[in-house]
Amino acid sequence: MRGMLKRIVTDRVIVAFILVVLLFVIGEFIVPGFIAFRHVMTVLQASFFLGLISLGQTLVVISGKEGLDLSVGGMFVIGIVTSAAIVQGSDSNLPLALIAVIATGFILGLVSGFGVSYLNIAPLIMTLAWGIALRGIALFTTKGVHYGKASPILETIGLGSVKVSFGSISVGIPWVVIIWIIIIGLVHFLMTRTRFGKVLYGIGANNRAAELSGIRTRFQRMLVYGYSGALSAIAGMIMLGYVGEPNINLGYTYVLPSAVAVIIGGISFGGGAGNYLGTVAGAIFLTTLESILATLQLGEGGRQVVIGIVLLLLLASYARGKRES
Amino acid sequence: MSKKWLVVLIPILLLTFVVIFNGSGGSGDKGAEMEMGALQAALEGKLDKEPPYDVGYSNGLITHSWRTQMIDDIQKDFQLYKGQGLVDKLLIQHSGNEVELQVTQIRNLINSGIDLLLINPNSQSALNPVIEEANERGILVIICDQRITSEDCLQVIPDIYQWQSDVAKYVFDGLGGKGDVFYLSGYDGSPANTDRDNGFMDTLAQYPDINLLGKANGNWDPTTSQQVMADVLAAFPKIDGLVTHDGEALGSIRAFEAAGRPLPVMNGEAMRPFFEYWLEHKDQGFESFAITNSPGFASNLCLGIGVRLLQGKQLKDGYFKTDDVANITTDTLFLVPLTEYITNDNVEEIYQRHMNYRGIADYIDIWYTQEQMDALFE
Repeated sequence: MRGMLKRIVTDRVIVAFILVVLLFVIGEFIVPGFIAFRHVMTVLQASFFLGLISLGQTLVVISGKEGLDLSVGGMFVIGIVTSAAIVQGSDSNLPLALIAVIATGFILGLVSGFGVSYLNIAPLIMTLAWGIALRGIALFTTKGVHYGKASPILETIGLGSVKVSFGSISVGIPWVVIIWIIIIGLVHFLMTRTRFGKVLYGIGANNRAAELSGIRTRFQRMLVYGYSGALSAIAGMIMLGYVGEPNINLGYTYVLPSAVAVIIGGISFGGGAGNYLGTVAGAIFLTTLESILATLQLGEGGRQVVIGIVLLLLLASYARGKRES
Repeated sequence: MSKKWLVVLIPILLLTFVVIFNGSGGSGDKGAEMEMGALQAALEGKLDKEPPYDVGYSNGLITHSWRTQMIDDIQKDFQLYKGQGLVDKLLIQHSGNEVELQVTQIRNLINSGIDLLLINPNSQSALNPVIEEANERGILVIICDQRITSEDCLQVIPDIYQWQSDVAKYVFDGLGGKGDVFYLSGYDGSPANTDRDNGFMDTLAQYPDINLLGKANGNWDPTTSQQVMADVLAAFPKIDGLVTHDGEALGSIRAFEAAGRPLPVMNGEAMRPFFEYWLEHKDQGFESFAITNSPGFASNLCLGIGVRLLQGKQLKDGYFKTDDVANITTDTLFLVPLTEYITNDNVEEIYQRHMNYRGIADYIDIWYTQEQMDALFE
C-alpha cells in the first residue's frame, strides 16, 4: 500500500492528472457549473490546440541535446495561412490542404532540425530565430491580408461535436477531443512498440551509445524537428476550423505554454525520458487554469500574477522532487 | 564653520542660483508662447514651405493586419498628393514594440531632411525629447492614432471613448435599458483600452437597470475572445446582452453557437468576416451595429492636415483643443469623431464598397475625403 502510494506520488504523469482534477474541483467552487460535462468538453476542446503543439514539443525535448522548439508559434501560423489559402471555403480542397500543410510544416521544421543537428546551433537560439523568420514569411507572403477561409467540414472538425446518446441522456463530444484521443493512442503505440520510439529515446538518453548502435543520430534528430513543425502546422489548420477565418497573429500565445506543459508532464529537459500522456495533462492543466481565471474579475495583471505564481510553485516543487529522488 | 563646509555650501548656493534663474527664464518663455497661442507655437517657423514636401512616417508594430492596411492606406493618399506635385518622398520605418528603436528611427528621419513627420507612437512620453529635436529642426510633427503627453506637437486621435460609449448604448437600448450584460474588454493595460473602458463604464452609469455580470478581456483577438466567451458562458447561465470591442464580436458569436446558446443583444464590428456573417444571417432576423475605425483613418487625416499646413493654409478654430483627460493644456489635440455607423440598413452597401475597393482585407476602410479635409481649413 505504502509502496503503491509512493509510486503514485513519484509518477509525474499521475501527479499531473491529479492536479488537473484538483483544478476542476477548485473551478467548481469558484464558478458553479465548471465541472458540468458540457464545460469540461469546452475546456478539453480549447486544450487540444496546445496539446497538439505540445506533442511536437514533447518529441523535441525527449530527443535530447537540450531540445526545445520555440518555432511552434510560427509553424502554427504557417499552418493557418497555408490551409486557408488552399481550402478557400470548399470541402473538396481539404485533402490537398492537409497534404500541403503537413509537407510545409515538416520541411520548414527540418530547417531548424538541420541547424540544431548539423550546424550545432543551440536549439533555443535556432528555433527562436526561425520562429521569428516564419512569422516574417507569413506576413510577407500575405502582406497582412487574411486570404481564404475554412470549409464546412473543417469548421465541424474544429468547432463541432458528435452527439452521443446513453439511453435518455444525450451529450456532445467535440470532434477535436475524439481526434486527440486517437492521437494519444497512436503516439503511445509509436513510442512504446516501434523502432520510432526506440530511436527517439535512444538518441535522447545517450547520443553516443545510439550512434554506436548504428543510429544516424544527426539525421534522426533533424527529423524530430520536422515532426514538430508538421504537428504545429496541423494544429494551425484545425484552428482555422475553430475560428473560421485565418489570422496571422494567432499561435504566439502557445509557444511558452507548450514548453511549460512538457515540464508539468514531468519530462526532463535532459531528454531521453517521459511520455506524451504527461504533456496532455500539462496542456489541460494550463488551459483549465486560464479558463478559471478568465471568469474571475482579476484583470490582466491579476491573471498573470496568479498564473506566474502557480507555475512557479509547480516548477519549484518539481525541482525539489527531482533532488529528493 | 570649517573650510570643509564652505566647500560643500558654495557649490550648493551657486547651483541654487542657476536653477532659480533658469526657472524664471523658462517660465517667461512659456508665457510668451501662451500669448502667441499654443497651436501657433507648435507650428511656428515650420509652415509656408515650397512643395514638394518629403514626409516621414514612424510606425511601431507592422506584424498586424491592421497596421499593414494602415500603411497601404497612407500610401494611397500619398500618391494622390504626389500627383498634385505637393509631395515627393515618403519614408516609412517600423520599430516593432521597441521604444528605443523608434527614437533612433525618428532621428534618422529627421536627419534625412523631411518636412513633415508623422508618428504612430510606441510610448506615451518617451518620444517627447526626440519630438523636441524635430521641432528645433523646423519639422512639423503630427502624432497619429494614440495620444502622447507632449504638448509641443499636433495630435490627431480617433475618439475611442465616444466609440465604445456608442457601442454600449446600442446594446443597452436594444435591451430596453434593462437586463444582465457581460462586457468583453480589449487588451488590459493599453491606454486605448482604458479610454474605451471609461466610455463603457460612463455609459453604463446612465442605465440604472442594466446589471453588469462581469468583465473579461478578449485582447481584440477572435480566438482569445472565442475561448474566453466559452468560459464565460459556463459561468453565467443567463446573458441578455454582450458588449465587445472590435475583433471580438465574431469570436463571441461562435462561442455562443458552439455552446448552443441563443445570441444575446450584442454589437458587431467593422470587419469583413463579421460583415459576411451579418449578410448571411440578416434575412433570418439578425441585427447588428458597428462603427468603422479604419486603419487609415487617423494616419491619412494626419497626412492631409500636414500637407495643407505646410502649404500655409490656416486651420479653423475648434478642432485642435486642450483635453483634461489626456492632461493636454495646449490647443494641440484633435479627437476625431468616428462618423461611419453601420446598421442593417447600410451594411450591404458598405460591404460592396469594401469589396470593390479593398477586396479581402479585414478592416473596413473609410477616412476623410479631400473635401472633408479642406473643410477643416479657412
